[in-house]
Amino acid sequence: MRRFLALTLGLALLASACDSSPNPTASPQASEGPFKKGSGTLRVLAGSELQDLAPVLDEVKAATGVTVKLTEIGTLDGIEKVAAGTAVREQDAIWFSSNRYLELHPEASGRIDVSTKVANSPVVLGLRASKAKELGWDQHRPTWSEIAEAAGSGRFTYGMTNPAASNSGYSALVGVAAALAGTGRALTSAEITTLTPRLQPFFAGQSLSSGSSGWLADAYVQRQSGGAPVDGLVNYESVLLSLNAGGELKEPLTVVYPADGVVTADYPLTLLSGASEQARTNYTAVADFLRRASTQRKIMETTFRRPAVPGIELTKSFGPTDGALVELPFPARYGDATALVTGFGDTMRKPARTIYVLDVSGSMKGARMKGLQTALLGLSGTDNSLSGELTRFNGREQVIMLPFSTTPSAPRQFDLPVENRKPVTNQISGYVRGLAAKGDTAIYDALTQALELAKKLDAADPKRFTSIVLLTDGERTVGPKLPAFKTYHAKLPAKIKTIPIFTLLFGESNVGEMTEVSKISGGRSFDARSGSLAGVFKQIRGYQ
Amino acid sequence: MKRLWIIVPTVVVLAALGAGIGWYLGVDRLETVRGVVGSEKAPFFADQRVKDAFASHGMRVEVDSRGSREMATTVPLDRYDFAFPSSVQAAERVKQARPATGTHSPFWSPVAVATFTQITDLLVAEGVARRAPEGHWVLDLGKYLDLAKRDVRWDQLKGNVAYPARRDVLVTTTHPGDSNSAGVYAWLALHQLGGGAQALDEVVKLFTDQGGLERSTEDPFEKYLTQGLNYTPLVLVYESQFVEAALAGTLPRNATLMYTAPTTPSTHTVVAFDGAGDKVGDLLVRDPQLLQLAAEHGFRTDEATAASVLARVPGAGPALPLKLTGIVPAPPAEVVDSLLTTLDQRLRQ
Repeated sequence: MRRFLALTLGLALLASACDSSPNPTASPQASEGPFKKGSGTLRVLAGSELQDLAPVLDEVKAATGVTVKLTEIGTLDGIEKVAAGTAVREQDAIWFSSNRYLELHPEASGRIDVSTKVANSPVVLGLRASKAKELGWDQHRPTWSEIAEAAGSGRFTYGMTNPAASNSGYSALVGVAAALAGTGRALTSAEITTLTPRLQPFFAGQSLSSGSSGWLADAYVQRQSGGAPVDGLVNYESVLLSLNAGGELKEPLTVVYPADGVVTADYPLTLLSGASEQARTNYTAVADFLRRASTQRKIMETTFRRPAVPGIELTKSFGPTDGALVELPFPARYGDATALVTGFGDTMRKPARTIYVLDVSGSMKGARMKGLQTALLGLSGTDNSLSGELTRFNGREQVIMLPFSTTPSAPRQFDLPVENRKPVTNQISGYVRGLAAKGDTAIYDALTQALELAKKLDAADPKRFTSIVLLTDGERTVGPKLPAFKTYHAKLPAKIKTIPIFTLLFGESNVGEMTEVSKISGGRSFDARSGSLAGVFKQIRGYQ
Repeated sequence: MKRLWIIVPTVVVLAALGAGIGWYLGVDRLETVRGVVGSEKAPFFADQRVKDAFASHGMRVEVDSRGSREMATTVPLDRYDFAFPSSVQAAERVKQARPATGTHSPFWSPVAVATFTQITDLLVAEGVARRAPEGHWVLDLGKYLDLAKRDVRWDQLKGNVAYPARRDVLVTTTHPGDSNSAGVYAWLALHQLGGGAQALDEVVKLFTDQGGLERSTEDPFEKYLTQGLNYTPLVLVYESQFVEAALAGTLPRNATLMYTAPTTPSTHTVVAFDGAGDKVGDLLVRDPQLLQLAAEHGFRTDEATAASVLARVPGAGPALPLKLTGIVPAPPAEVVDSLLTTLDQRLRQ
């Protein structure tokens, strides 16, 4: 008996040691065939909105043996990396909510290999239920032009991502522009100018901007409890339905499906040209798992994306089907697609008021000052890359520089015209080159002054989207401390209190304090301790 | 207790032996053959019965899906034993990109338009579609091209309550620079319009008016299957895709198929780069089981097999003709090639 037991035990041990499947609980559904296998890691450059698929990716690992490592990046930065051919050096695949813009890019389109559509989600408007009811949109589906009119006359406010940084904002821009053009075919550059006066009212209603869809949803939740809540969000249907299911909303969102159509994301997991054979094997295994009916159902039920694979019945939470939700055409050419984004920045959007609060204390001397100057010169027009072109200072923008050291310096204001921006951007460049590092670090004196200035400017010219960027490389050394600033901040009128402060973690700056400052204002902190300052300044442009 | 010292090594040896035998039996002795195929053929190669059929000949066929035209441009052909584009013309281009050891044409399929009954009703009322004597739907290419040229929108069709969308009446296709089906469509349109510079402008417009185009034919068809009429009312497909979905029961509500008049056959062609690729092509042409399976995935092999498969398409489904009329012969490869090169330049400028 003892011998038998020992034999069984020995075999069992050995069997488990030889078992190639890392997780014995991951067994395929009989009808779907055996799992394809890979090994190691599939490195994927991905949009931030895909983070919610983490639980599915754990199952991918269990079933296929492949770890999918997502590296978050904005759509545009991603395209630029693919186009430059640098993406494939560090990554095997890309995964954004859409490849449409990338496929139009003359340099990027040849650098992608096979792609696999994983899900679908249209970009639509979500409004808090009482506001939707007030507008009658719980009963009647408005057209984009009705939506634009209501937004323009201040009947509701909304948040949306920046089309130059994120796919959901870009899809919304394409959708509203195509719908307002009403031609029934893809929009061309020539039509954009004529459309601008009709698009401006829509964007006038935007009171919250973001460089990523995920952060936008979080900011919306946070703004509910402040003094200046936002009425709704333009985002993926999946994000809006997830918010409704998430239990953090004071009031559920009514999902408004514009009567004249939408643009839909299709989440293509795409192998990069030149990826290794192992990467290709891993890619195939991962794609196979993601498209199984059981996985598709799970993606639908947990992330509210519609399935990409036929034969799966939609759950009740999804909006109109059978032709009631028309797909609007995307531009056909790269030039047209790009003209739409630059047009958004220069002529359509609510113009920005951008205040840069810049530490020029002694510690900034040398490479740090040089880095700051390069970043700001890039935004003034010296950066000729695609991302440079789409993040530069825009027509109609008001840029204010407020350097500080022992005390804040006098702020300097630059107003960019709609056209012929060059003389003003030259002035900005000249000013930036003249910045010199000296003295102490009076962070909160400077921030207070920036907010007072914003208050004054907003009273005179309220139809702007105001934000503050704070760059410091060290701790406060003189002037008021954080608690005093917080007391001051708490007493500000709602509109000023909700001016987002975007802080950079840089040099030896106080991470805790910088995070706190961004948090109380509804802003965000960005890590510039590794990587280029210019890259982070460009990233922040998506939020301004 | 002392005997344990004997038992443990014995167990280990036995177990190791057993594991070794298990490993030997578990690893198949199949030769892996790699191919790059037009996406509409991916479901065929993914079918377990197809895998088993190849396995019985000692082969495991692994495929990647790409657009037929991409195969001659951006696909790294070096890593494959064969390419399997969707037409003889595309196969010619592939052969120019990498020399072939042989070509094999196992089956064909006409391009057609996947749509919905409420849409065919509208097009019939407009005089653009009609029912053929055999019972299947036909899209009159000439009349359709006239609507497209005049930018007629769905919401401008008289009495249209079924789909009053503010979108042009336009077939959704793939990119002609990437994919064979769009190339066939472009050629049929140009042929219908009689050729020449003005006709070419009109063909370019058929694509630019659509906006962003997918790279391979299965992508728009899959959106037709999953998003239905939300996606678009008219999608260019191969007949085989539609038949395959009909048999699988995955067609959307009110789905139906329209054949363009005229239409042209698309002969799916294996371009083999080595012996293994040739073996795959040869099996596809000769093996009765693989031919039967191809027919069940909607491809036209011989008439008798096609008849038996079409007869099994669910009764409620659309009428599918055994014999197609109004077929024009496919154009020479160099004609298609020069058209597609021009179109690609015009679309990417």
